[in-house]
Amino acid sequence: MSNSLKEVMKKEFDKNKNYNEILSKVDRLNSMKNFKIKYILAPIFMLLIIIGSFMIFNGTNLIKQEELTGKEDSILDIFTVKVYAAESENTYLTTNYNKETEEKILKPRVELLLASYNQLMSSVPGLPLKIETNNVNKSIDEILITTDNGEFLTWNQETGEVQTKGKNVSLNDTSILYWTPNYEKTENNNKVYEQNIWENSNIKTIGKINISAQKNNEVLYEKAVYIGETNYNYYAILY
Amino acid sequence: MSTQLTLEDFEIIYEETYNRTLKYIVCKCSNIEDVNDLIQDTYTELYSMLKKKKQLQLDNVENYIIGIANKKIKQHYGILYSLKLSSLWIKENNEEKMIDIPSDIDIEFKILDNINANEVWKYIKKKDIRVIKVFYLYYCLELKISQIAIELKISESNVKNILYRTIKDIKKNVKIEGDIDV
Repeated sequence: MSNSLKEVMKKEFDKNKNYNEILSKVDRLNSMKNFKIKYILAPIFMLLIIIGSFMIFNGTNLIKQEELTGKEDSILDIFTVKVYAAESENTYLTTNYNKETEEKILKPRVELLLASYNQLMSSVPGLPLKIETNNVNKSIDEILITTDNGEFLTWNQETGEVQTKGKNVSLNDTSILYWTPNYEKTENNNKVYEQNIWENSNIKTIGKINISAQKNNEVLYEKAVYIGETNYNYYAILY
Repeated sequence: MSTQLTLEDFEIIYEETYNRTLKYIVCKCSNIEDVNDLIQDTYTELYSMLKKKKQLQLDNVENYIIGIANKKIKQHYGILYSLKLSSLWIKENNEEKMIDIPSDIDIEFKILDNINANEVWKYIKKKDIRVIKVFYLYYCLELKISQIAIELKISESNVKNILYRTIKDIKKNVKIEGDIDV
């Protein structure tokens, strides 16, 4: 019996069986560590998701401003500034300019040669700027356009009627405004405006047009269109 | 001279130290059913340490593992374990009733050859932990009665008593091979 009892006892505390169990325990411990890490990280991610959701849905102006200013493309969705570009210098705006001249979206820091305008000679009242609004979601109340040099005009192409709008115009819908410079003041503009914004150093800034999207009398987003001139050719750039 | 161990040495260490660690845990445990768990916990900790530290510089590997086993036993049974165990031993030693052991005790032990070993082990496992320990050390590790007395810190006569009396019980209560009923 003693030998067989010895075998039974050895089997009870079997070395190989215990070895396999040890390796399994080691694997389980490693899995537990991963499991713990998962369950530490999971609440952190959940918290981040909740904070993210709160920021998206709380609807504050600040968030909307962030949304507007965060991407150049997003503001282009709210309003777009279009100008009438010329392919070469000394190309003048005609009465039928909107059909004969290429309409181009003004993109940030991209200098565009405009079809030229001459106060005495041209049949158009000023340099046309087309402000296209996209306010389907009512994210803004109005688009306010201001200038400190010259003034804005509207022009009815069919009747020829020109209306003076002054230095500030409020828009709710897509419109074409004509900007005309004050030539007397333009002579001193080199000192007033930022001049180092043009690729062509010969271009001198003669006017600045501010365009701002407003909600509840607060400016959500603001951009400036600079008008430059050299040899009676006009340029526009968006900042 | 110290030994440098890495994770690659784990299997060799296990092979070389298993029997001593097992004997230590059997002698120190309060319940024989805990032995496998304690063995596994001891070597799992050694494995984890080798994995974490990459290298272990040890003067005596066996003693180091016994140290881990000792820690695991204390963790397993709690703080009161050592106090309870030592007081129980003293009490039980004093209470052990001495009986007259016949001179042909070795023959008595061999009489069990005819009894089913599985049944005997099952029967022994139902007994007091001291009985299980004595039987394990005597029959499995084949220690002498004097060595068992040292390991379990009890007298030799106590060891003999436990063996003799338990064998008598086994003969009386466990089915002998070939018998239909006990």
